[in-house]
Amino acid sequence: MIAGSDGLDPVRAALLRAARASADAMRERARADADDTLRSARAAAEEVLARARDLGGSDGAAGAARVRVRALQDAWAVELAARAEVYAALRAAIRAGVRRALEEDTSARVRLAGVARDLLGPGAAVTPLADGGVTAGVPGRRVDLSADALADRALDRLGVRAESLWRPE
Amino acid sequence: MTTPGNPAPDEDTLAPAAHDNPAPDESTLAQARHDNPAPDEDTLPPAAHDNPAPHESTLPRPGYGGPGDGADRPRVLRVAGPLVEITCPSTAAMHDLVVLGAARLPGEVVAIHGDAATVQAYEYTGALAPGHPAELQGHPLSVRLAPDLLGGVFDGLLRPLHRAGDLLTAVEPSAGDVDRRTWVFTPRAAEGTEVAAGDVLGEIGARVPLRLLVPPGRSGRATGVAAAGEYRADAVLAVVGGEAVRMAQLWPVRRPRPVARRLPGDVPLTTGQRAVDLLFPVARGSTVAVPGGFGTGKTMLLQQIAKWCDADVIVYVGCGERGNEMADVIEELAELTDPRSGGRLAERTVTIANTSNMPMMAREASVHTGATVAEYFRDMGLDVVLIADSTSRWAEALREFASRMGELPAEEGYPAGLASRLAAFYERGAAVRTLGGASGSVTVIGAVSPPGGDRTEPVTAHTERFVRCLWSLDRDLAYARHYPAVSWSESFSRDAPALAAAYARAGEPEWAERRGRVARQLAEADRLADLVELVGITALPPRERISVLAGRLLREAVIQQSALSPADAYSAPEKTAALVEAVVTVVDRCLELVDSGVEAEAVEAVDFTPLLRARETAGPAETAPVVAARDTVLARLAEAA
Amino acid sequence: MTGGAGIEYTGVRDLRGPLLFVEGVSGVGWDEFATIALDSGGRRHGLVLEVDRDVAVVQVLQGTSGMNRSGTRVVFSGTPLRIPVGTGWLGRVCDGRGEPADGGPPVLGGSYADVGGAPINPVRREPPNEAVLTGVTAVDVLTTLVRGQKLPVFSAAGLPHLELAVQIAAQATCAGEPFAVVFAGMGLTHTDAAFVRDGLAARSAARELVLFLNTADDPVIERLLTPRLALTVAEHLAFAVGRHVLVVMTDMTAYSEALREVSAARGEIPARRAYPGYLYSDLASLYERCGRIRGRPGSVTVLPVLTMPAGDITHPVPDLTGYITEGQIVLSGDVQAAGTYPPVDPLASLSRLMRKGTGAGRTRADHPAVAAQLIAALARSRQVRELADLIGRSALSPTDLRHLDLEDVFRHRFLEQGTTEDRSLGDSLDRAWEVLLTLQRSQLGMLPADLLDAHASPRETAR
Repeated sequence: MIAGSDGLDPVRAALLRAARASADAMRERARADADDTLRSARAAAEEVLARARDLGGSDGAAGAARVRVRALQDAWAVELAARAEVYAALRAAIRAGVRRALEEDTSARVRLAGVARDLLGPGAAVTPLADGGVTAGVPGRRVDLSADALADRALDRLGVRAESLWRPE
Repeated sequence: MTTPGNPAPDEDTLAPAAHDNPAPDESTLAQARHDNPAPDEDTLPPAAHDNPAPHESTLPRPGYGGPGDGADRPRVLRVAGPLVEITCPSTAAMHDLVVLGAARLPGEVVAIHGDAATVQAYEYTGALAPGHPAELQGHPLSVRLAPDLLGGVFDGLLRPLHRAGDLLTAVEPSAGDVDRRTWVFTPRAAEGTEVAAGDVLGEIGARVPLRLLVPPGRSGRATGVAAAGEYRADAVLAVVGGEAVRMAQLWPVRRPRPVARRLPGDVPLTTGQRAVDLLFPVARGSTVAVPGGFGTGKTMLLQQIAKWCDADVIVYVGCGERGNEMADVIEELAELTDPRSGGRLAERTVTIANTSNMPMMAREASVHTGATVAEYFRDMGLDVVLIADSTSRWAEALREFASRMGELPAEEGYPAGLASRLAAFYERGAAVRTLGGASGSVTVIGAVSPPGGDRTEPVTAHTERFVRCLWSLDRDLAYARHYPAVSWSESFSRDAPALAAAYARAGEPEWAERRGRVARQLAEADRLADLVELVGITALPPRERISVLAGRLLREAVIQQSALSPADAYSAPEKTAALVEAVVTVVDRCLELVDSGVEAEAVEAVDFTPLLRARETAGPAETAPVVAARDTVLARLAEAA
Repeated sequence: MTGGAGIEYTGVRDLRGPLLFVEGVSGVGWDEFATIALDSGGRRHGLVLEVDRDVAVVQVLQGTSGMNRSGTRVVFSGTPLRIPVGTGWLGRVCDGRGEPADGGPPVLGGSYADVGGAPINPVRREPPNEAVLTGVTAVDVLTTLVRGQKLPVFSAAGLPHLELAVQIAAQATCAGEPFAVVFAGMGLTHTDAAFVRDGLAARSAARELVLFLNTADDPVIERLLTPRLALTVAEHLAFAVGRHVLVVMTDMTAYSEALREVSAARGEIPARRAYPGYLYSDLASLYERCGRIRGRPGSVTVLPVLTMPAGDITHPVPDLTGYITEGQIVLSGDVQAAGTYPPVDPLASLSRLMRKGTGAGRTRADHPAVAAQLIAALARSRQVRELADLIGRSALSPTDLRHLDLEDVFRHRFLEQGTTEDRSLGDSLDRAWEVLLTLQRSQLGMLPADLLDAHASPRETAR
């Protein structure tokens, strides 16, 4: 929810670029999966709506309106759930992508440690993580450069572009 | 630091101080002159051209934290909303202007403790952090005073709002386009004459006749007086005692402009509002408070006065009030014609708009800004009305800041200094002999918004003590849609005796009698109304029944006034007098009738409608239709007899 | 809302009420948004209330319960709180902090906006002069809501203000122009929240609604955020997208109590009834976000709903609201007791901008005169009613008796309305005529003769 801007950019940008590129790529790949998820959700929603139309025909006018609203609501709920699923899948894919990128790039961890020391000072204690990232700390301050944190940040930066998953482009 | 002798930091950065101008001394004043040589430059002594140093500035430059600057440059230490603490060089003075952070937010030093200073910021301080730079400007918060204020709309620090965008972000309204208007200047001082502060150097042709004066604290030989012609406000029009004099000048907002002496106020300010002019008149240079709960029509009454009173200049300070209302008043002033000059009403008005969602601390400054603008025009020998709506919002800003400063609270959380701050503000209203010997005045009218309508709350209670007139707005009257809802029982005018004497000297001795009669009649009717509620109207003796009738006629035919009716919105003194005379004559006839044995019921049954409608059927300054209405009713009474 | 790669500060010095004191910070600005991660799991959010050298005071929206000094990490966002804005909000239901509560993904937006908003330049404001029609007769005819206005509903415990707010939110329109409703619920019970969702389902399904619901068991301080999110979303929909947006905010008393709670926790000097001295300015910073801007198509109209504690109109919340807003719609226990919905007190209610938003070319030519006459007649009716109580009905004049009839007709034919009954303005005004014509023509002096001629004779009845 927050616009990122913390003035630490130049170094981290280089690192994040990889994550972001991966996010963009993932978004493209995720689109295919998303289409499937959404297609089935939308079919289900359409069915709900059709049933409502049938019911509405036989019922009184006020009742019909209520049923129609209910159906629209249900259909919208199905659509939202599908979107949430697609978004979660995108997040998972980006996280996996970033982990993979960090694994493949052997110098990544060193560079991350460098970033951490830039942020916290040369005395920072750097702890490597299993996912390929690092955390680092000095008393009172800490940075989280885990693969997941980098991935989530990249996803946030995608912002409204992620909506292309469920909007026709 | 500026000294009393040379108070106006003439050449330096303007109050806003937040523009991106890299060279702070190249203010808009200076810029206008350098970038766009005005036609008058030829007449100036060479010194005024390229080498401003000897006389252009006696002020320290911004960032004067010390010769070393750099490392010991002032920094922000603490931010808590509008309260900002900074490191402070020993040269910093109380009330000095400070700009904070990269966004260059303006603020004012309000306390100095050791090597730190507390600053009251005038803008939203979001994202301002300890360590950010602070820059002392070396002079107090000052505003640029110039003829182009007339017709303009400004924020609380007098920054022109028409140059800002749709939304007021913390970013300074672009100072890019400089005012290019020109004004006709006619010199009135001969080259080389000795002049002193307040002396007239020339006249400036505007809708309101303005003057170029020797600024306070200056004197000497007038040289380089510009020839008659059109000049921009920032053009140098003369040099006095070696310093340039322009139409535009800076003045610190918290310092009242000096005058020769105060004069007793005995010239009426005609507001065109009958409830005021008739019952609670105000003298030019006097002070008025208008307390009223919400929905009692405070703002409406003040706007009517802004539109129709017979002052030369109106300074309208919307202080913590509604945005839509400000938009409305701005639009109306631009459309309405000034009955005296024939120009737009906006052209005699300076509007300072600090709506309730604009930064609270600029609200605190806005009333002082307004007073300074009013005094600037007063010094030219003009009668100025300063309207502040509402002083309660200003007092709340004081309270808010005192609370953040950790000051010990007095009543209801207000600082102990509230009373003296209120008194000092109202003291800026006065009729004066200016330094140049002219007479001018600033009449201060302040709205008060008592919480819960509680008149004992501190702001209302203190204000009542300091003002000469009180127009108290009554919720019951407003609820009955009786406007203006000025209560005749809870208002006062301490100017009335002096004005009565002045009217008598001017050949209108009946003025006082008229006022007394109306006041007595209204009070009597109120007293009887209580009785009627208990025993019913039929139980009253005939003369008392006529008194009740008289009260109704006075209320509906005279005191009520429709702000929406073009005929009634403004009532000239002669029309007001005619309306009173008509009602009084009718009432006297009614009394004669009942005295002669006519049933009170028969008199009450007479159709008085023409009299009640006379205020609408007669134009703003017409009396004949009023007289005709009176005669119609008198004829009907004759029939009833 | 991820911490990303910002610096996490772990030096928690003090925890006090909702306040968290972090030391060792640098470059943290006032009013910045903060995300707080707990070792015990979970994320919370906060705002910087003060920053003094290297200590930042963070007001934690969800409270500090369960937080300790060693397992708390705070990340500052570098800016005051900003949220994505855009049409992606339409049709969404969120909690009081803007997190999805409808099973959908986070709301994304093409741009971000500060939730604090920026004041509209007074000279760029367009004075409001067109109506928002609510389909509620008492509101549309007597206290017309005008686009860009702020008009509160003053209510008391036990009165159906939520029903009225939902009805207005469900039915409001702007003469066919693009419209949206942003509804901010603060301190609602779950029953009330469900009522709001159901009542506005159709509007939501039509993607004309954004719903923010902070329930009574949600963090109290989060309520300070809810109306700001709503207004930020609304401003974008209005001034960037071009819709007319109605923002309903209920209950502002619950909001003000949250403000008082934070103020007390900060040890601030209290003003009236222990509310902070800046309550006026704080409320104004919300209400004043309504308006229209010259040269832009949309508008933001604000309808705050508040309950007057113990029905006291001089209580600081209604009192200060009344000073800021442009009129008020007052609900009355007496009208409610008579079994009438909506229980609007017509004489205490007022829309100050109505004069400019009604009449020919705005609503209907006869509207202003009819409304003024109806109010005048009702005022007389009330006096007559009081008189009748004192001296008895038998002592009343025929004109007085007609005024008593008028009050009855007003209540039954005009005021009374179903909670889902959407009346056209024409219908509502015709009903006003029906009420007025209870009186004789001579009693209708505020109506021009031509209007009377047009309506008086073959009167439509029985609808």
